[in-house]
Amino acid sequence: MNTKGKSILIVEDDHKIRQLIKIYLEKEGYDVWEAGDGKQGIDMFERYDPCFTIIDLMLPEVSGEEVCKWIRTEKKSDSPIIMVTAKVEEKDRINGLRMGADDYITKPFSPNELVARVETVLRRTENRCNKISFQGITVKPLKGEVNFNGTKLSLTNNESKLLYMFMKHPNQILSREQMIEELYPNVEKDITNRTIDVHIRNLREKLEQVDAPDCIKTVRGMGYQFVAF
Amino acid sequence: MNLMLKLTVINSIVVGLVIWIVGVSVKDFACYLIEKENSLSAEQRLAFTNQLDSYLVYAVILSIFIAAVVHFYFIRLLLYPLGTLTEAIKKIAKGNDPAIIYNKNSDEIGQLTRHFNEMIMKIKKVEDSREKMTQDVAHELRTPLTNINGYLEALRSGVISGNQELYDSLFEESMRLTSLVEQLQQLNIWENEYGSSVNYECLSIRLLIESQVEMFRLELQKQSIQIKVSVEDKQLHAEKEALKQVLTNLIENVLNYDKGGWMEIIGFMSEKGYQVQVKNEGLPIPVEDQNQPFERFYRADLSRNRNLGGSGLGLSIVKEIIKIHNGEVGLKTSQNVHTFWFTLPIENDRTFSG
Repeated sequence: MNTKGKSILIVEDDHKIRQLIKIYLEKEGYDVWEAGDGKQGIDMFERYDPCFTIIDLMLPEVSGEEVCKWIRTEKKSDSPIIMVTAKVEEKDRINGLRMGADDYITKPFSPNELVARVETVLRRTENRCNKISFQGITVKPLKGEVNFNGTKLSLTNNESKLLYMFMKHPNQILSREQMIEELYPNVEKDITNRTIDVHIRNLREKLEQVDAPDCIKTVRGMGYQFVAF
Repeated sequence: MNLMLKLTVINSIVVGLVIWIVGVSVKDFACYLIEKENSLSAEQRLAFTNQLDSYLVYAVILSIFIAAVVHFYFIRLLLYPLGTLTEAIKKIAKGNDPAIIYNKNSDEIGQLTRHFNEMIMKIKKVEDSREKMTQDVAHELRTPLTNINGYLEALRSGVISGNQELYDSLFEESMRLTSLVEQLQQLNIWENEYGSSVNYECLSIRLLIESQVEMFRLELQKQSIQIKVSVEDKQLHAEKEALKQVLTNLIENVLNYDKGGWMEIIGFMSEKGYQVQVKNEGLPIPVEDQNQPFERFYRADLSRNRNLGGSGLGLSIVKEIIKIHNGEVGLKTSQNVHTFWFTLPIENDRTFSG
């Protein structure tokens, strides 16, 4: 399964565990956001609308259970959730699953196992999340919407299509011809490579305006490349 | 043969014997009267005696039978609660939780039942606290273990490469586990063994507090915490090492949770004996939790955030030690200012009960 570009929010108060999970998830190509407590978790979920959330149950400010409940009932989101917790009793586990978690993993866990479980849950719920994220840039192809760290960018239809095409093929060099094919599939009249260059320039400018990282690289004589990490 | 049958047989035999003796005396008296009257022939007298004998035998047999029935019924009524008790004890032996037994009588069996109920409650309480303790310990072990296991796995498989910072932080996690184990051990010692072997000595509380504060001087400076000590001197009977531990834990508690940058140690004579107060400004403790900080694994912070340090056992150790010294511990708090206090009785060498 293509796990690249799926955004994951980790809500965990122990920064070492958070860091460890992040290292493993980023290795698999996920775009990872971190929250250190429940309140921050809710704020970040609201802002970034991640594809997936990993929540520790024992959190300062707002407990993990409440965050989970908030996502399901207030936010009415069915975005997949895995609970990470030191509570091991059956009743805690059942309680967690009742609150709407898709899976439950107890500490101490192996990071590889967590990654495998994230993958399993994502596979099961793949159609719930079509958006794709890299380095904070998120494209929602169905709405044609692009966000950077929660701020909406005003892109033209062609620009967002291009960006989505790049993000579906991270680190690959795409030729101008491929892009013309993608943007103007049924147009007979000649569209020059210059058109694409203009689109790319506009896209770069708009990304620069919101301080997004400069991801689009020009590859001389070949085309463009989206550098994901 | 069960108790009920034994009691019934004994009682019936006693009743039979009594009837027999009474009957024989009545018969003898009747024979004596008849002989004195001399109005009957020898034959008639013999018939009369035989008649009396047979009545006597019937009476004895009948009374034994009736006594057996009556006794059986009443003894069964009396012994019934014993049967329930036996069943309950059997349950305990099997490891099940027996229910409270209802018995409103105030006789010996009623008393026994009451004591039995008290014992069950106590067992339940001990069992509950043991269960909670096990859970808490497991919980406290899980987070450091997640870190140690996880990072070692990452190192082993080459996902990350080691550096000094990582080694330090992993070592810190392992030290956390070590200190938890040590504190558990200490708690266990103070709870179970120490009561019988406290080495009381006469010591100056002021010197003790000052030397403990001195030990923490560097650490307090590092965290820039101002400390003020005003202690009225008094000779106290206590175990030196134990009191040192109490002070250490209280000061460490301040170090872990300090928010105000100051602490104050006050010592003075009060009605309850000598009182020591450790005052500082920390995290807010909800009013309903005022007694909780002395419970094992209580954290003012719900998430048991370990960044603040401490295992959550320090204050329970304080409580156990002071309890052995026949003193009291407590907490007064107004908003973020907390006063942890303990008292030691002045004459606790005499009131000490082990």
